[in-house]
Amino acid sequence: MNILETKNLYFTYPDGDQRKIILNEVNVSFDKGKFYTILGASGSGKTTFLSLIAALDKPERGEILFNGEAIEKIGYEKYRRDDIGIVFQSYNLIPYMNSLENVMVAMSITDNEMEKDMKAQALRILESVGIDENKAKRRINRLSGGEQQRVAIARAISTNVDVIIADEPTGNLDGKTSEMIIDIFKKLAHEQNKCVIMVTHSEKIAAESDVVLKLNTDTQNFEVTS
Amino acid sequence: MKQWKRAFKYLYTHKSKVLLLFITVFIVGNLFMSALVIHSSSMNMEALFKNRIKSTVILSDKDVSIDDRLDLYDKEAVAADYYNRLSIYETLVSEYHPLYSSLEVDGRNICLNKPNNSCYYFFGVANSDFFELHENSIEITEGRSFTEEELKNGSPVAVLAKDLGRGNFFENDISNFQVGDIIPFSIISYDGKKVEYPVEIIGLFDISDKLSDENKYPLYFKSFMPYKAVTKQYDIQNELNTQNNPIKYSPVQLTFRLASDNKMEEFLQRAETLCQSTRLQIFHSDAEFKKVQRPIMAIRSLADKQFMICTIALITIISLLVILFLEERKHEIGIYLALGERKFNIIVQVLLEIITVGMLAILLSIGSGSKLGEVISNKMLEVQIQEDAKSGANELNPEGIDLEKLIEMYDYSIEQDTVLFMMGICFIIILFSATLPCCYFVNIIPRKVLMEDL
Repeated sequence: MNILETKNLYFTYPDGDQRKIILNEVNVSFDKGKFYTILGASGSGKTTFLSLIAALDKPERGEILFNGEAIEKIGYEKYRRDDIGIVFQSYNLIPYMNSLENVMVAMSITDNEMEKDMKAQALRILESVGIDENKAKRRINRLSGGEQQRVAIARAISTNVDVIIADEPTGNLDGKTSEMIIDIFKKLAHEQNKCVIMVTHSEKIAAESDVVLKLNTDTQNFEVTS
Repeated sequence: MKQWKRAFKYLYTHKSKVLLLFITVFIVGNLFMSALVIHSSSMNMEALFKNRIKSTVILSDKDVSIDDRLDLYDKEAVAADYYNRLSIYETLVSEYHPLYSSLEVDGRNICLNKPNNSCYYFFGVANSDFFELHENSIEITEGRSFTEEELKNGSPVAVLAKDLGRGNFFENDISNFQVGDIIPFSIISYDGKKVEYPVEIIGLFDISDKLSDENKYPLYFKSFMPYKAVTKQYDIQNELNTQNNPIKYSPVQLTFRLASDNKMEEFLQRAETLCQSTRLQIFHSDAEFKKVQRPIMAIRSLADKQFMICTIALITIISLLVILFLEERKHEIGIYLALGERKFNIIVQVLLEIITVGMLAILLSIGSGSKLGEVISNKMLEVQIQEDAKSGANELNPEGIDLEKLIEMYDYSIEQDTVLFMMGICFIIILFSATLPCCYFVNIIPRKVLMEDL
């Protein structure tokens, strides 16, 4: 069964007196163990799509199913808390906390089962994305962009979720750091059996993924290429 | 990380904002506390005043004829009935009657009202638990109070101050009285005729240390007899006088001090019916307070306005500061929402931050605020006293409590209840002021603050 699926997803934005259709009856599904990328021109609605499947906004019509159950029924808040992890382009870490605390915040919020020693678990997760203990205790603003993004990934995976949703996570990073981040996502999908869905502008990064979903601005729908 | 840990982390890392909130709440808290202290102190003072003054009705018959006076005795009987029926604790006090005595009892010298003055005054009481005893102004430490039999028969027995001599400006008690002494008092007519009227001392009392010297002093001379014994003395004296002179002596006034203001109306209705030919002087504790209250009420009124303004100011300032802070923290709130944090928990975190700083500021403003209240009210009282002195508005009541004495009763001490009330009110204000903006900000759509593109 698909872990995530959209049914007739429909979304518009106000455009003067009219409403511009961004997503028009979008039907797409995602499986565990695969790395998905979403390509599309600026303003095509790829981030909007991502925000809908991440339950950061509500669709006008249609529904999103997680393990066959509508996320509206699960509850948007609960779905974000227990079922998905989100990685943003601008990291969105809490600035007055250090890396370790940022990860531990997510772990304390989720209802998913965590290890008794939460701190040790957080340090291990940070270590797995290349953040050592020394850096883990540094304030966020004393880390580089690439390090901050790795902390954001650690935070996303720390809650034992099956779906990682990433909005252009390499958008603010240099080429080498971007490669490292993509490697982490690939490992998450292929080694830890996660479903990774990533929005990107880069055809090169998209080529590294298992499935590419291209958002067509004319049809406001996806073209799937593998 | 639980909400409280996140809250304290935020406070620790945002010291300038914490300081801004702290100083603002501290300033308003000082004004708030000063208003509360002034209000509370004036209320305490009013209660103390009313407790001291009681509601008093004086039946005065200075101009009443002999026949009327006889009527009055009947009325006294009814009044005594009142005393029982209304369960008024107060003393039924007659104007004192002078008794004369030699200054020697059983070979011992005794001191009476003044050195070398053998005239002594007794106050008539109608109850064994008479007013001064009931109010714990005095305590009978030797002997006893009056029995019902003695009160009913008007027996010539008396309860005196143990330290009577000290009241006569001596450092030590030299009255030398003992329980069981029979003082050979006599009643003397205007033309020098004398009737022996021996009085037995059945009790000696100590005056409470809690009273001020000013209040203690009159009690040294206030000795007590059954009321009927005092009226009997008048009868004896009038009988002596009528033999050669038609002048009649009578109690100058009868004073009824009511235990409760609620009894006043009922009492007056009966008293007016009974004493149609008698002058009624009413000292209602409320009315008496009103005569001297002006400066206090002016301050209280100002304090009440200050309290209202501070409440509105505190609500407005905290709401605005919270809105300002949360506007800056929209992004952070968006992150918590994206992580799936419950809105309630986010609100709790922000409230913990605001309440911690706010209540600390309020707590510290209690001391300084009450001092400020003292300074403000002292200044205002000074002005009011000067104004009242010019206008001659200062009136006396039966207890002789004038404005200056009233101000002496003004106590700035902060009671635990006042502090708890202040903390409670401020807690509610802070909670209310911070909750509304919080509720608004946790309802933001996370996408709008976290994602920049379409």
